[in-house]
Amino acid sequence: MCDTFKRAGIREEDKPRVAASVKITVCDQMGRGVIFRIKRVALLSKLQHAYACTVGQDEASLKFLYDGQRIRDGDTPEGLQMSDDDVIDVALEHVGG
Amino acid sequence: MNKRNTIVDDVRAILATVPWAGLVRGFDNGEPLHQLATYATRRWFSDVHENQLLDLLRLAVGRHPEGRRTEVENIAFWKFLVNGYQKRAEGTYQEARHFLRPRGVGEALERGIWDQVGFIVNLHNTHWVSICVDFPKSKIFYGDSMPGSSADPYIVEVLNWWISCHSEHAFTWEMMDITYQNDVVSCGLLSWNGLAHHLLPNEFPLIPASEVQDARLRLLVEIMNRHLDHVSNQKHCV
Repeated sequence: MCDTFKRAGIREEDKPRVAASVKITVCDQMGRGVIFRIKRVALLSKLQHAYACTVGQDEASLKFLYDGQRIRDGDTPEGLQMSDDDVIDVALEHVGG
Repeated sequence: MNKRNTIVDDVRAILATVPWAGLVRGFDNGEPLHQLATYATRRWFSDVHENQLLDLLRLAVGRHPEGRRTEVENIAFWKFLVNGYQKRAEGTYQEARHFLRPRGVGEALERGIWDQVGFIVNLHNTHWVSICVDFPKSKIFYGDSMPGSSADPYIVEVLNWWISCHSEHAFTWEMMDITYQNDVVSCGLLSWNGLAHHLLPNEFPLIPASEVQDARLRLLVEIMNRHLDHVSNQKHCV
């Protein structure tokens, strides 16, 4: 990659940069948000754990959704192609009868 | 052997083949397998079960020639609409990436790519109701298994706002054909059944209130079979 830029005559400061981390807001059903910065390759389960600790809830009772889909154990911001200021929704399980 | 014994035997047979550790395969959300036990009880359905049922319905609709212009959304869809409604003064719905999904559905309906969208809504963490928004007919069908009920005012407010973002027409509200529950546990099943019947009446007849327990067991077998199909497919891939 470096050679490619050199050959193309692109200076170091002009190279496109992919941030190593992303800023993500975890937003609850009341619209309250908690902002986290997380490495793009880190597991989102770390963020989920940190959120549960921050709000004092049992992690197992919370559901974390990105674009309406549940976040799975092995998901990372990179894997989900997340970008800065993206929002993860968090919800308690709902029931009805 | 009567019909009831047959379905109970089917459940017993399938329970004997499924390990209760791990996640359910073949559905959008890989939920823990033990959550499926709820289908064989009289416990309330949670969003886990509603999403699984909506996944089954989406598959059925997708396979059906008449279903090509219908979208079935999961439980999160309503949360997006509520969120957009709450932030309507800031205009974030029209701009923010967060609302890409509901905006995409709205635009597909607006452009006539889809005719209708169906989904299920939880009310006050105690009750499930179903909704189908039909753009060509300019109608919103509302399914509530509680006899004598009418559309929840907050749902009316939020949906009217969302529709106004994508259509200039005035939509009218109509009650969906649905089985009324005669217990305090079946709204999750009957709201889904009402929506399924509304979208594909021949494939999904209305479940009589007296047969809700059998229907729960039949759905358990269907979900387990789908799970087993996916587990065995995965093994072949390896």
